[in-house]
This record gives sequence, structure tokens and C-alpha cells, in this order.
Amino acid sequence: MIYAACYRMLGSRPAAEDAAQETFLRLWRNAAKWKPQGAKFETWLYRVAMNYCLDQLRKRKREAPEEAAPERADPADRQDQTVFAAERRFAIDEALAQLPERQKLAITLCHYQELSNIEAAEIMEISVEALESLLARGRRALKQSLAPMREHLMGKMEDGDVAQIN
Amino acid sequence: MATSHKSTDRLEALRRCADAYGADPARWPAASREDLRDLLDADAAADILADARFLDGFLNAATAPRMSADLENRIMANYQVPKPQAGLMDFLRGLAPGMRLLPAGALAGVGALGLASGVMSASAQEPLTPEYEALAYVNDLSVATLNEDGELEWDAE
Repeated sequence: MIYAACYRMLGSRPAAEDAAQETFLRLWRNAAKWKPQGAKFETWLYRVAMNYCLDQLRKRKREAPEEAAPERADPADRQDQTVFAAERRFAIDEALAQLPERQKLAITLCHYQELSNIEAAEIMEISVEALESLLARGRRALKQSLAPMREHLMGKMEDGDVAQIN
Repeated sequence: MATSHKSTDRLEALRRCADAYGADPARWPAASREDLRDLLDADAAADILADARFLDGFLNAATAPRMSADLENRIMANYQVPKPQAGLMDFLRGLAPGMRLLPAGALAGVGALGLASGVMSASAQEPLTPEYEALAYVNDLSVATLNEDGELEWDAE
């Protein structure tokens, strides 16, 4: 769960492994001192992990701006998928990698981790309204990035290569 | 006129929901899901939902790998058995030596039901200890077993 969220944010297995390991290391060090203070434990743990991921993304940008985009998914992972599914996955990986970090975080928490808007807002320490704004902007940006892919896929549908888009 | 405004407002609310949360009402806030349910089959909502569904399809296509056993082992290698809360370990041992600690969600569920209150610490909403709940998060497939010495043993299902 934490590992998957880190992977979504950082876009590579080694980076996600480091993030998960660091998150739990911090947890082991601080668990005895942890006080609920109204926050659910899950919220606290996600916050630690996601703040670490945001730090890493900012560090990447500072150190190598031209290489700031996360790695592409390993093509070997797609070998057993249909070409259509692989194309779609590749496209969304690329589009997610280009998203501003807080928009990506909002989508990661709500869509992929399936947290409620209230939980996601708590983790990000923002209001639900601000979260919804990030989600909407993020989804809008993704749609724009994917627009050429949509046309490409629609063309394939018309050619009968794929049965449906969704 | 008022009815028309209301209809437009509700359609706009549906658009906001779809823009933020996607086309699947199960992902919407409960209140919005309830308020907008009757709009879902309306012609006017079709384009809005289709547009959101297109992106949902892409988002769902992006998969994430599972945590490897090696990573889990590395994480657990850093774990030190916490000093037990006074009386807690005795209580757990008395309950059932070798008992399996429930995943965090299940623990929260037990707490919410007000059951096994003795297993919960001071607050009914507070799980055993952060450590115990955290361990369930290391890997969704992992569970801990409390051995006779009050230490956690790990296995994967």
C-alpha cells in the first residue's frame, strides 16, 4: 500500500523501495513518540511517505532538471499485455510523470489509493475544496496530454483494431 | 425558471464531481453520490461522464508493482520489538498465544464496533500501538504472530 503509493509518485521501483524503506525507518524510530492528536495512524503514515516522495521529486528537479521526469515503466512489464493495453499504460505513465507534484499526489491518494477526499486532504494538510481543485486540474492536464492518444485510439477503433476504449 | 436553474446547478455539480473524482459514482463523496444519483442516466450527463470515463480507463491501466519479499525483509530487519505497554502483552498472551494480529483496517473495525476493548489502548479509537498497526501496512499480505515470548513473528500469506 505505502510502496504502491511511493511507486505512483516516483515512477520507479528502486526509488519507491527507498521511499518505503525510509518511511518505515522513520516510523520505527518515532513510533514510541507518536501521539494520535486526532489523526488516524494511516493518515500519519501516508503523510510521512508522501512528504518523503515530494522531497525526492524536488531534489531531482534541483539536481538534474533535464532528467526530472521519472523513469518510464519497464517495457518487459508490458510483454504479456496487448499492444493496446501497453500503449495506454505507456501513455498514462508518461502523462502522470509530467504532472505537477501536488496534482499527482492528489490523484495518487484519491484514485489509486482510494482514500476518501477527507483522508487525502488531511494527508496533504489542505482543505477538501483545495484537494478537489488539485484533482480537477490534474485530471484536466492528463486529458490534454492524452488527447493525441485518444485520437489515435479512436482511429484504431474505427479500423477495428480495438473493441472499445474504456 | 427556478426548476431550470436547479437543473443546471445540479448538472454543474455533477460536472465538478466527474472532473475531480471521475465517472464512477463509487469514487464520489457520499453526499454528492446521493444527491446526483438520479442524474446519472440523464442524457445531459452522458457526455460529462463519457469524458471522465475515458480518463478513468487510462488511469486504471497504470499498474503498480507489489512490494518484493526482499524489500519487506529489509524493512523488517530495521524493526525493533517495541517495549510493551504495561499489561498489554500479558493481556494478549492471555487471550491467545500465537494469535494473529489483524490488519489495521480490521483493528479499526473492531474498535469501531466497540469489541475487544481490552485490546485497545486508552482511547477506543486508538489501535494497540503505532508499531502494531504499522506492521500491518508493511505489506498487505503480511500478518504478525505473537509468540509465547511476546515477540512478533512474521509470515506471508
